[in-house]
Amino acid sequence: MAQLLHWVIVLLVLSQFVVGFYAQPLPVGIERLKMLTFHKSVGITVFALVVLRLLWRWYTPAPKLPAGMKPIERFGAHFSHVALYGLLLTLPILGWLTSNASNLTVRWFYLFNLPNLVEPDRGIARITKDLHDAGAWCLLALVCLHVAAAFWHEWVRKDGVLRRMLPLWMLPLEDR
Amino acid sequence: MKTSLLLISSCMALAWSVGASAACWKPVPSPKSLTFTASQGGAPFPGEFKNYTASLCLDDKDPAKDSLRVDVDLNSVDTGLDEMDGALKTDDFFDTAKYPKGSFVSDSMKQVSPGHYTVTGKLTLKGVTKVITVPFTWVPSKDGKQVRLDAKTTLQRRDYGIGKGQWDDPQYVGLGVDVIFAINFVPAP
Repeated sequence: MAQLLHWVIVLLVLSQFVVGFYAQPLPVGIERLKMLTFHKSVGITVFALVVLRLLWRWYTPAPKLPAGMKPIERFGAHFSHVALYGLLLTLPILGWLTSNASNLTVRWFYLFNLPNLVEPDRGIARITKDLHDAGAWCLLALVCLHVAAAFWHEWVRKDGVLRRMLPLWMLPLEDR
Repeated sequence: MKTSLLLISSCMALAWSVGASAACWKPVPSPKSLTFTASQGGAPFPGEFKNYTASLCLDDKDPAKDSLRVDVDLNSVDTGLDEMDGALKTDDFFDTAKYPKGSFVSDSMKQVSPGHYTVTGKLTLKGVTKVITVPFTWVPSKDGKQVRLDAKTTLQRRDYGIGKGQWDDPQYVGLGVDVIFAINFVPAP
């Protein structure tokens, strides 16, 4: 379950970067509206799935890190995961705030409206948008670090940390 | 003597007008008194017109003399989203370069019950004139210095050619736009 959620969130977050970067320079219009409605809906979904995944982790804690990792490595692993979760939770909220401050109500996949968190305010919109954009770059950097660390575990340390996150069908037959 | 008489009589006229007999009224400038709610992708999208003028005359003895006129500066549209304010001024929406003003001029007014009226008149937007009927309430404030007008009507944006081209699809831009008046009036000099 934790694994499935991880990969679903990966796909959604990747699409967030693609749609976000694509929509940002678009002029105001229906295409931008469509793209951003999708972006916001997926963002809210990511938020909900991350909450679900954290609850799941709390219910069934993640396996321990391999023995033999240096304290600094353990700290790095721990810190980067906290930062990842933190950004995955704050970016959707910052986007939601930016929408509301721009006088836009967030509608989830054209199905239902989410409550407005703030009154329209151009000043707030500017701040939350800048934070959302900066946060997105941080998330992108952290994702790269996360992927690099996964391969480091696989190829340098050979401790099987990456494999335990892969679905069975992706593993070599002898390891299943 | 003559001047003081004139002064006294004009003061009395003012006092009477506040007491709601035959009189004309003008709005007190206040924010968010002429607002609208459109919709984008099914979610509400409110905005307001910051500049407008209005004049309302009610004659208790001869309702045929009742009149209401509202002129709206469409360039003063404020949705809280600068790009959208810009888009609203283009010819896809209001085309403010060609039609900077929207106006409503009453033909007739009817008192339905004390404080409740309907007004029928011509609304002109983007060069299109349509006759509409709008109910409104007209309630004096407790101190009697102002009278509050509340009205709400739903306009069909396509009737006036508003939201053309890429914006036409009602799935993304709703067809009905609520227009809400919540204006305090004072006696017009």
